[in-house]
Amino acid sequence: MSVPPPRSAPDGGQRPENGGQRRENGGQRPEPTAAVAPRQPPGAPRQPPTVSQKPPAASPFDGLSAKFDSALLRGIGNITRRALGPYQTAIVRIGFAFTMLLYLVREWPNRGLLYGPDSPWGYDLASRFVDDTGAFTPLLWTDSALWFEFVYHLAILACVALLLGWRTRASSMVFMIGVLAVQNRSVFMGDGGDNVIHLMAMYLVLTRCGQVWSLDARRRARRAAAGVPATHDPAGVAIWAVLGAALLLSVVTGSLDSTVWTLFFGGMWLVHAFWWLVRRYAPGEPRIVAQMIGNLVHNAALLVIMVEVCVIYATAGWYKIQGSRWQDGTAVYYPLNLDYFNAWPELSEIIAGSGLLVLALSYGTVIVQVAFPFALLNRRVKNVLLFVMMGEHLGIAVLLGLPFFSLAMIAMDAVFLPTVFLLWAGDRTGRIARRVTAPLARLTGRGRDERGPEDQGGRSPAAEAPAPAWAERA
Amino acid sequence: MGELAEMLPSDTAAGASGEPDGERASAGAPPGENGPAGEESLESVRLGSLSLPARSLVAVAVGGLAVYLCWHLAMVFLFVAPSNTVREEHWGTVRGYMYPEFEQNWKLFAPNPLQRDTAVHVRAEIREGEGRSPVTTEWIDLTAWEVERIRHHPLPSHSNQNMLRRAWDFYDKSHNDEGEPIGMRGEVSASYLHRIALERLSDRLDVTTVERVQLRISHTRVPAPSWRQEDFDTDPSYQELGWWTVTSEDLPADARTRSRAAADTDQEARP
Repeated sequence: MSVPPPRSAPDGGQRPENGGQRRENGGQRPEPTAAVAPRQPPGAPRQPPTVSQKPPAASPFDGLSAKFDSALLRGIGNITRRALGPYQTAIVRIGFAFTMLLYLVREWPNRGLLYGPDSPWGYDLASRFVDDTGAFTPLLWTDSALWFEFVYHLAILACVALLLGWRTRASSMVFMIGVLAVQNRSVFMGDGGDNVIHLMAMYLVLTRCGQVWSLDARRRARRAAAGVPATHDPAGVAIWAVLGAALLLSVVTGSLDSTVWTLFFGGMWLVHAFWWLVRRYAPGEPRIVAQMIGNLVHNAALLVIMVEVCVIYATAGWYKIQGSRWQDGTAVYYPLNLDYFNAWPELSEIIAGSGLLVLALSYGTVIVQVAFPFALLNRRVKNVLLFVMMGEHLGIAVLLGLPFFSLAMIAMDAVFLPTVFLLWAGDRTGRIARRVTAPLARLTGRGRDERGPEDQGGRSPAAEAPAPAWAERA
Repeated sequence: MGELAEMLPSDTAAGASGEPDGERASAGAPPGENGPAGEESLESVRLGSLSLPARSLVAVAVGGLAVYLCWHLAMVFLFVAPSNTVREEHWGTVRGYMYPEFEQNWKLFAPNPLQRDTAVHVRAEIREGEGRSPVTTEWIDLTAWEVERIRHHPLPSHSNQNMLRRAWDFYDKSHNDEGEPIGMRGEVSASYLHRIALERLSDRLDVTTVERVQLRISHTRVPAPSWRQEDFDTDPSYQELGWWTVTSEDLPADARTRSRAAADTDQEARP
């Protein structure tokens, strides 16, 4: 009666009991584990339809605990077996790396004024302030101009590496350090966009954001095709050795004096060393468990990112409701007329000149922001709101002159983009990229290598949604 | 039955029409950590088939992460929520956890958008050469200069958008109603604001000759929209800060070196 599930899920036939789950992929065989009571076949304890009487109305609570158990098991299976939302995390990674890269390059001429030796927020002031707040920033370890240049350019390189997905684990860490370095060096230079980048840079470190659309993925695929074991990776070992030495040096010299950060960096380094060792010397169960825990951390971080987006919109929306200007429908008029946000007066005038338009935009903004978290309950509504919101941010980028803020917001929204859309977009991007680079590739005679990382992702439609759970459906 | 019908298409898709296992591992799993060859894929791993220690470890990880996740999200929620019973009682904990790295503020243009322009003006007292009496310049509108740089720029710089604007916010928040600095923040904010003024002045005049500067803040309400019957005063109101005596730390880096060099030659000239 039902289509055989992809793998040997033994209880496939009883699925309808468990609500319309899509693709309970893989047989998380509900064998009793330590945590779960051995009460599996959920359909079984029904009243046997032997008597031909009108059966009593089934209690909605029948078999509820069995259903709960199997749902729990399935849930745990989903969050341990895979790192969910590979395309969503990849697009978030690319989005934030791109935003930060663009920002650092754009501010390159002003870098000294913003974060360096020329800053009015001088080394003395910043040090006094950060001593008090305890924020982490290597830029205040010394007031050497050379050190500043090194850190700033390292941050740019980290953005490039993260954007391309080169050594994602290491580059996401350096990216975070770069972001915190500049932002915490000059706290009063940022706006909401910087705030988002700051948070997401930290969360991204904990996600496997290089599973697809990355040089990492391409390398993994090639090595696997060539039969090279994953642990045979001198470059990777070298990178982590350098990072380890840098960490050791910064602790020994007393530059890194925060306990929390020392523990975090040290812990992360050990985790990666451990992961390498496990794969090399204990490829059986220890590797499986380690990978499961890695997936768990990824999934937890992904959930945090998603909730953070909801928190941002909910806060922005609910606080607006209380404002008289949002109530009387003139709110949008004001930022458009403030000197600091009036980047294109001609455009602003057109919008601010129409009372009806301003009212619609003001109410629309509040409605969309307040509604967004609830819209996640419905895929279609969510997608509509998502595109409305991204559109609004594009408008803000131009009208209020806040391109970096808007880019960061769009990158953040991207975590909710549907996988189908991402696959399609990735495929298109890959095709365009190949068409553009093809002549170049022919010139250099490396045509065969020009399969972009997009290839890896867009290759097969079956690659869609390796995971059925919430992140994928989102 | 509706449920069944609903799941049919996706289930079919999921099974990829009965692809052989090996192929599925390479095509279905995300090429990535899981390895296209399925080398590291966990898709076929059954929790139940793991040993007891392994299962316990996974269970502990699930539990531990779940608890920490809830904690983190609760802290974030309480941090951004308005003042309430729980938040007031545990504010110390929330603050301790969220500051400095998880700090966030999402009251974007809320509850009300800003409705007045705030501009920082500066004037300087200059002494050109020993023995001459000091001259005071006109008021110079620093914010207008920043705004000019933002206007019609597709990618405006944070140095124009945020530096002066947020420095004034910071100053304003860390000074009391009498204009006295509150603690360390008050002191550094005052230095910061005046240093920005000198930085911006250095384009117009030789800041090494500046002895003192004075700032004033002008507030101008954005006029009400034409389609509304609201009438309020849109004339600027000014708030003057006290004169600030310039020290060498306050000067921009290049001016500082110049003034030091000048001092050195002075010394050489007068042994």
